[in-house]
Amino acid sequence: MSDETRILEVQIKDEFHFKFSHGGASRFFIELSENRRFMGTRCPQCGHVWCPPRIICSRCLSSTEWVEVRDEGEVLCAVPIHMSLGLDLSHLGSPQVCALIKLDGSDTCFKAIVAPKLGETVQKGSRVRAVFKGTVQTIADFSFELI
Amino acid sequence: MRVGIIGVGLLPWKVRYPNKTYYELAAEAVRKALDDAGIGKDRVDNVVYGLADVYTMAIRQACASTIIQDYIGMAGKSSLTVHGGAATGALAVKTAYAEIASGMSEVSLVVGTGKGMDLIDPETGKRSLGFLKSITFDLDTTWDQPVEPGATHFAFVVQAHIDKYGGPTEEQMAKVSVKNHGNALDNPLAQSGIKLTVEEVLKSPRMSGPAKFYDSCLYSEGAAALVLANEKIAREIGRKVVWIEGVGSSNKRSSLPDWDDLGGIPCQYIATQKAYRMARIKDPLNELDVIELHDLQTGIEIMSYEELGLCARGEGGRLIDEGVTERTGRLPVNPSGGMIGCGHVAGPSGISRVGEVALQLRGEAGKRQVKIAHGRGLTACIGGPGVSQACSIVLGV
Repeated sequence: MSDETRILEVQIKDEFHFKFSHGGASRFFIELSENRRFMGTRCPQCGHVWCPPRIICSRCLSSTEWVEVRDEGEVLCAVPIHMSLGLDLSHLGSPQVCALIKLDGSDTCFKAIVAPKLGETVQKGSRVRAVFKGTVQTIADFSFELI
Repeated sequence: MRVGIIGVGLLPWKVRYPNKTYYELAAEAVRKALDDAGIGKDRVDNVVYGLADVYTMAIRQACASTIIQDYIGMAGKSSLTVHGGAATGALAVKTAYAEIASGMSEVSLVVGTGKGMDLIDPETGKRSLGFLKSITFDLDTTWDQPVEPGATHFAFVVQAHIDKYGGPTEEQMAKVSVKNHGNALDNPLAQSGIKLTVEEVLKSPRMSGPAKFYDSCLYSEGAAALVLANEKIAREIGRKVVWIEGVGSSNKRSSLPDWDDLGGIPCQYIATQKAYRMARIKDPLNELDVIELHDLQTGIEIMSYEELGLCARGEGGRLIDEGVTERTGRLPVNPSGGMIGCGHVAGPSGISRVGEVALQLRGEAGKRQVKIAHGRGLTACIGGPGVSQACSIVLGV
């Protein structure tokens, strides 16, 4: 092998640890942990209800106020995950479906995991209810089941 | 002020360039583009870098433009870095266009370079897993990253279209895969030219939602560069100039939180309408000769047919069924092989798509050359979380 075609590869480990807050949306997770209730925010100006909550309404830039929304809702779109590709979702059981869910009482939607039982199909229009196991720190710490 | 593309420098797409750093790749692409333009580097006033954030993280280099600027001999000139997911490269071209059209520069160099395979998953030793983990960082930290692996956000866009319109079917998506992998066979720059059958695509492993392995775009390493100039300098070089006739961009997520938009790619529609208006294009199917677009997944290419106004919404699958977008069809789409057959790394990808259309309009695309009747082509790049970033560029000769 000539010197021109020889290469040197080095493997290094660059490890980062993050400790961050969910900012103004923190109450969403705190309420789920402590009271198992979903909170969104309502814009006093235009009435839009945001869940995921936003402390400023993106439609009219007014400050919003907290309101409770239901723990049930509708699937707007569902995508079965066949390969987790580096994201560890094993704690949620298998199989998993990543779904866009609009909770009753909210005007917006968020992505969450739905864990269907054997033989169940999750699809647009499916009704779902939240299921909790322990402390809720991220959106992966709870899932939904079909009603 | 008219702005022309006077130099194209495209490198072959590869899974990995183990023997080149990102700035060495950039330098090779720049040298090719300047040679193609027939001008020296001293004529360049300004450099626009298309460097996607995810890839600058993948190479552990937060301000890569400073390192590249020095290596390519442009130290002291003005520069700007553009980032917009997989649309980064086209957005960089648009930015360079504005630099010249505003009169701030006479010659602007657009450079993109990317290496995703420096990342490695220590448990499996697979570089692809390390990279796929990193692209999750494109998504919202609080609301998306914890539950949405890899390219699932693209699958959402396609699945929502299927829910709304009943298509595209898996067979139609497979036909796009067969077309783009097949086109790549005639492109010496392509990474994945394969003669596939619809059945082989349908039998490939499922990824997320309707997308299978062969429905998904590549992840590559590579670099691309273009030289843009004002009309005075463009005419001095004495060769066929490809003019930028229309540009448009938009930033709008295709899903959250505006769920009324589900089933479409609104940013691509908005960006392309702007570009069409500027170029005075009213009937793209009958006014364009070639399109290079971002086929993040086969279903997204079919949806793009609709967003680009080639057919009514919900009818994109018909175009692939009827062969309209084949290389020998009425309006060839991705004769280069696209992101599925040719290659993709955000940054160089969009720049090379513009370069490909420029080569086609110059009649210099070799075996992948399509028939040029109207003298106009379109590049339509999209990307970002949930397909949110779009930039469309109409070129003409």
